[in-house]
Amino acid sequence: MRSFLFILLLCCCQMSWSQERDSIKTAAADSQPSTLNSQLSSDSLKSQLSSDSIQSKYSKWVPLLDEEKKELPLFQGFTVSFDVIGIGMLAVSDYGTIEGALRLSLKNTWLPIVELGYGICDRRDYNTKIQYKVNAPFIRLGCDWNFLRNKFQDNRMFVGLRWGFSTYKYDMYGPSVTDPVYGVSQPFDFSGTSSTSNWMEIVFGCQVKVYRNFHMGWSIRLKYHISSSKNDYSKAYYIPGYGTTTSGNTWSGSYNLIFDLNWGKGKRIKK
Amino acid sequence: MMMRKGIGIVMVLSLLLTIACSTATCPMDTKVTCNYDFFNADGDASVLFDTLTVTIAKPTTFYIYTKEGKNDSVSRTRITALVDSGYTETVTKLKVDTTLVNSLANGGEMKVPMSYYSPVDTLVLHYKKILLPDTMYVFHEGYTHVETPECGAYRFHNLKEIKTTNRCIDRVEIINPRVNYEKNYNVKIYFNTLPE
Repeated sequence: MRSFLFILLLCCCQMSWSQERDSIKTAAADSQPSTLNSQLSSDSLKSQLSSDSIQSKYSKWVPLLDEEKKELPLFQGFTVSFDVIGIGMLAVSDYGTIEGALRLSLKNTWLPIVELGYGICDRRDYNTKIQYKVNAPFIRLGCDWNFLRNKFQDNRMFVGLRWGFSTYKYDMYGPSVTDPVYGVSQPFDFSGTSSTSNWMEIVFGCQVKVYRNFHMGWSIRLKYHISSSKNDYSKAYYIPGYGTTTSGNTWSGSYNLIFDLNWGKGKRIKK
Repeated sequence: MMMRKGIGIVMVLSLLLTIACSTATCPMDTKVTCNYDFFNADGDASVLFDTLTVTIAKPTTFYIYTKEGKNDSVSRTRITALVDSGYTETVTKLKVDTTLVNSLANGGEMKVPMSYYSPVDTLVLHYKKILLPDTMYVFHEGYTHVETPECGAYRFHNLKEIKTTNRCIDRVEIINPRVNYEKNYNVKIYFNTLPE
């Protein structure tokens, strides 16, 4: 919940910043029509753009340039990213993650990704006095689809799927449970309970270029719990990489610092 | 302008959805009981045409105070004043009848709580129209179950075996050994005599 509010705040900041940047670009384009026209190779597009009615009605629509119609090489390099929301959650709440990702770009359209992280939870319920502790790694594998029309730009907006997996041991212990009839009481302690979980995630997100190879971006994730190994005594309250298990699905988000690694990246086709 | 409104609406809806999804779903009725269903000897579901009372012998701590030349005193709580006045204190555990089901009339089922830590519960079934009671020995294994830390800890049980006397009871059958708060029937009791 706290993470979601934090993400919303960051989303608002980033959206407004991107909109301001777009409006500056549009204004620049409007002020230099001759420059834009010189880049157009098609006469029909020239005539469309020179039409006042179209310019006023669709002021943000920019046709594909010739270079953008050409195909990108398949291999477009790797990106590494680090999530700051999970670390922020660790600082302000009972649980959080430290995670990073390595993503491959294929034609800047298909983006296979591996996310590795470490989930930490240390929660004691105020009312029941039951404590739950877990520290374990997790992995997510998946692929994103960049659905922006212009694949030559460095910004991305994507939807994707993930399959997450974690194997972990948790501790759960609490105060004595008193028998109301017989009056006997004993504490309980489930230390080192092993479990394995896997889940699916639907991801929606974006990233924008900030400076050279440095990007920032956010994603919102809807997570569906598929299965966890269970025992009679308890079930995992927090699964590393998934979150709390109080319902069958959960929301989360990430805010990423992203670095493009250009080694091996195919050169863009220049006019 | 429209774009900003759209983003705002999506954010508010997402926030509401998140609030709705983040509520812990603890069960409302968390009373853990072993549920007994009544049948006649032919296996037909029956209503008991008698009044049934179920008791257990509950171990209870007693404090016994003795002094030469004085009457003995027995109490369930410690009396320090008697110790100060020269009485000798002896602590002992005695089994006292405790009622779990009180005068169940014309019932077709009963729900009986189980002991949290004892491996066997001794239930005594008293009938109004039959002089001698039946005694049922319920062997079980209790364990603590935690669904989530918010919901608390409960003692669930696995039924192992049930032995019974046969004054009014023909036989018993465990149909679901897992005793929890899901309200399933656990045991069928077949009565060979249903007094009318």
